[in-house]
Amino acid sequence: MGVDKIARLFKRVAFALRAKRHAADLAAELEAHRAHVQAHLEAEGLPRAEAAARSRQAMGNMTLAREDAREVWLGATLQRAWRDAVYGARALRREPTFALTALLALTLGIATTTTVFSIVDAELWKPLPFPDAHELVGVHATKPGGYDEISASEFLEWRAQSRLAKYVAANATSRRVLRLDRAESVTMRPITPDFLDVLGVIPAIGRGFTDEDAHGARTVILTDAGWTRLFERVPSALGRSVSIDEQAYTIVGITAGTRFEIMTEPDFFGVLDLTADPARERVARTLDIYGRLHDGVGIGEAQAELRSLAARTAGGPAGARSGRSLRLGDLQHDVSGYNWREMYFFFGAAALLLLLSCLNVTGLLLARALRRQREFAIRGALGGGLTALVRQLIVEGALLAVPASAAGIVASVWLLRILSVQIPPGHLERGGHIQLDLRATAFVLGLCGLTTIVLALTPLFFARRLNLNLTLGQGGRAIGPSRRHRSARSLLLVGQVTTTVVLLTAAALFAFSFFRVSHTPLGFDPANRVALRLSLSGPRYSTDAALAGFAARLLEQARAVGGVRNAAIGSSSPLDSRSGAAVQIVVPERPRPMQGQEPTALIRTVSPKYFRTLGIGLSAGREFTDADVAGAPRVAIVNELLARRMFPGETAIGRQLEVIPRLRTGWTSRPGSVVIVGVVSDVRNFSVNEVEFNNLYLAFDQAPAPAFELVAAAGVPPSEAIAGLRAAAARTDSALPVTTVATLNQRVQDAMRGDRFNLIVVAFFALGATLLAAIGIYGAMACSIEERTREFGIRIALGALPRALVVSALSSSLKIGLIGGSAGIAISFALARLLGNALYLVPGQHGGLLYGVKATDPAALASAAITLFTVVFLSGLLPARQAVRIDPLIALKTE
Amino acid sequence: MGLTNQPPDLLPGTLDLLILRTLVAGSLHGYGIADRLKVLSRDVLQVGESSLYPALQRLLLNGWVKAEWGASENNRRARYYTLTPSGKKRLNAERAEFERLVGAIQRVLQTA
Repeated sequence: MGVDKIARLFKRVAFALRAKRHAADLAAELEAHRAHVQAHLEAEGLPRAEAAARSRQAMGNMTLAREDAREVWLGATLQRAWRDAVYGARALRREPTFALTALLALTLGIATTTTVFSIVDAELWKPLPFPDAHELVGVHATKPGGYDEISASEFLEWRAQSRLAKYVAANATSRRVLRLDRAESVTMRPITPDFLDVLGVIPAIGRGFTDEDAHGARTVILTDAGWTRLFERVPSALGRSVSIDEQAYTIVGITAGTRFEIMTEPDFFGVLDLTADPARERVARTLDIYGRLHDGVGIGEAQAELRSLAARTAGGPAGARSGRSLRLGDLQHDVSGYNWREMYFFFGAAALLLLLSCLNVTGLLLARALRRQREFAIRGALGGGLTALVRQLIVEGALLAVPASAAGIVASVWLLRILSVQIPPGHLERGGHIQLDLRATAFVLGLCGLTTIVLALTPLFFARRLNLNLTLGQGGRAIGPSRRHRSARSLLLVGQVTTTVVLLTAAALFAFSFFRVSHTPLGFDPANRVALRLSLSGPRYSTDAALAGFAARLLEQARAVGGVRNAAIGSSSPLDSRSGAAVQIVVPERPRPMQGQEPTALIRTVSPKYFRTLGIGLSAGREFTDADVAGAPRVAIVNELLARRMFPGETAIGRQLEVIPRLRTGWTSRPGSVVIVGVVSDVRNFSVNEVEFNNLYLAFDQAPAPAFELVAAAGVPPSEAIAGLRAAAARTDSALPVTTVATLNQRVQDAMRGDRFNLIVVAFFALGATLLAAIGIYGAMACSIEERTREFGIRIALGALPRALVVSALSSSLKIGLIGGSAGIAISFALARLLGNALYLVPGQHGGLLYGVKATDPAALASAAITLFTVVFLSGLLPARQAVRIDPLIALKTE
Repeated sequence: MGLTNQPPDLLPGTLDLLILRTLVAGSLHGYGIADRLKVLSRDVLQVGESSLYPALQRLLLNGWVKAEWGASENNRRARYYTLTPSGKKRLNAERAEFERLVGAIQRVLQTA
């Protein structure tokens, strides 16, 4: 019989799939029938026309016949499904608490998992938005202790010789001044003319660069970001001549609609002319290299070829350095490799929440199955077939899964919209444009749908084992749950409690971590401090003297602004994403370390009073003074860490340092050594959770930088000071836009945005988990008290004390809390050991999610356990108190 | 030829049994089946196509008959129904059951 049923199901499906063809067949068949009738009538002597008419009449309602025939295949199934749905909906309406809870649990699980999956997918798994993205590679030069730079001459040699891949280069993005009706600070990234071609990007408007552009033609391509920000997306931007750094450029293309997930999108792409004299441009000529492998070339082959080419170009300036090698990697991996830990962590948390909601729904459905024992027993006794029951239960499962999925997807779209605003910039490598991911949605929906429908069938599991006499006999008295049933339910509850404890522990760790982050000394005083970034470019500022002169005039203007107590200039300031360039330093009188092994330091060039302005403590020696000008002995100030590390047990003051210049940051390239004249306290450079950096400060007049910050300590509210300082900058050079303005307090807040965001996300998961666990326990306890009504009634009748009853009713939930709590702590502990340092900052490898707290922190584990136990206690107590109020008379009578 | 949309007054399931029986001698098309039923029952059973074709679809679905397009005696395209082995089995089972039922009914009618 079973095989027949399946065969019939297949036939039905096949019929539905070929419904048109079947309808045509049937129509033809009926027409043939009619023709036979007509032939018969003609044979009886009727004229042809009348025979045709009579035959049509005789056939009666052909449409009805067709529909009846079709209904044999389809109609009944559909009708039954509809009837089941109506019945199921009615059943759910009878139990609104069950329906709402199950819907809530499923929605929560679906929404969070889909959201997180979409983010993780957009960040890690989704191919880059370029054609044949798997062929794209990134090239890096590595040396012991970090990355090395790749020079233009080196690149030109491989590009000419490589047979396995086509390589392109981009220079560093730099700030320029664009003259429209006002001065705008814009970013421009010089690229080799074939750069966009190799990525596979064809500008949607206009054209890409050609080789003609490479030599002297002043052309630029506008990116989507630049087009939006600067030209409000008007198509007439194409072909416009614009002044960038006081030189006229023509916009020849607009990459409208293209997102460059491999880089922060600049406003413009310019042409990188590798053959031009490098000294002419201030922007140093070190390159980011991308490539596209030719058809069928593997990464390994290309890597080998690149290495052998690089060995041949060893004569080049960088090639000779020992320990240097070239690494070629999948571009997508390069781009998204940075934050996969964070991504997987949140993915794990979301998966736990999904597991929890599934457990919760299982528990609810199980309890419901028990309540419906009688219904199924009666249906069985009346001859209800297994098929009908299964169908009914599947439809009921779908009644939960379908609306929950819809609500989950809506919630997910909404969450993603909020998140794309809330996710701190820089938190995601590939940009904040996250859309609901179809694969993610399909995956989660499939999982949830399957779970619900499979789980919906659990009543059957119990119903089939029911003894009809036992259930229906003795006046229809409800029987208690079987042992097996009860242990299944307890196990589910323990599972929920365990999962919740794990998530609560994570939340506690992030909360502790956030507390530590916000209470860490920063090394400077952010109160009432403001910073305005300016960027000088163009021919008027091409010399050191011009830069220093501008700085002096600017400082003079700034100090005259009302309410400004102190002002200074520095190439960067603490907690600034542009916190200085890393240079290598050596002590000239000591033997030089191996090439590439020299200690590094973050370098800043700062004016006098910089440290006083920012409240950075001077621990030895002196600050820079107005006497430290170009031509005077070159001086430097270091931080305590550098002094301690490089001159342990000695005084750093008066010692000499030599800076190995960095190609990319031109101003660091000054011959000769500097004398240390002061030591200042350590500051946080990029973020609060960072490795300790050596800091080296140079005197601004002796090493002027083209991009710097004007920092000021204000005695008035920062907003007033900012207006004054902006005016001061405009008075100094009206053609120069201020690129960014920030109060240092804001910068401190921004530095902690990532930590705060992580905390919020984890707290959200933990809250959801706690809520689900509380609902689960409340529901189960309420159910078990109901089952024990008779028992409690008897005990009350026999004079049991109310307190004893509450304790007895509570004991099982407390037991679940204890077992689940201990298991949760054990799993959290094991997970912490397993993750090891994955959640922490590892210098040179990855950033940290946690700061200043151990993943096995006993206080965090304890607070998670206590929170959960309180929740278990309260959600058990509410139904337990019901037990005391049972009227023994009613309890015994109703049974 | 009184073809109507009203199903003939038959016991439920009997029409399927009768159709299967008409096919024992060989393949027939829909009209042929109706004709054969009419002739064999001496004009008592006049099966309309509104009950004939749904019944044929039911038999197809259950795999008791199979259908093939072919040319009819007057060179028209018609769909021929053939009894399958499982259809034969079904016919025998139903026939036995039907005889038992009819016998029971007759005994009731004769003795009551």
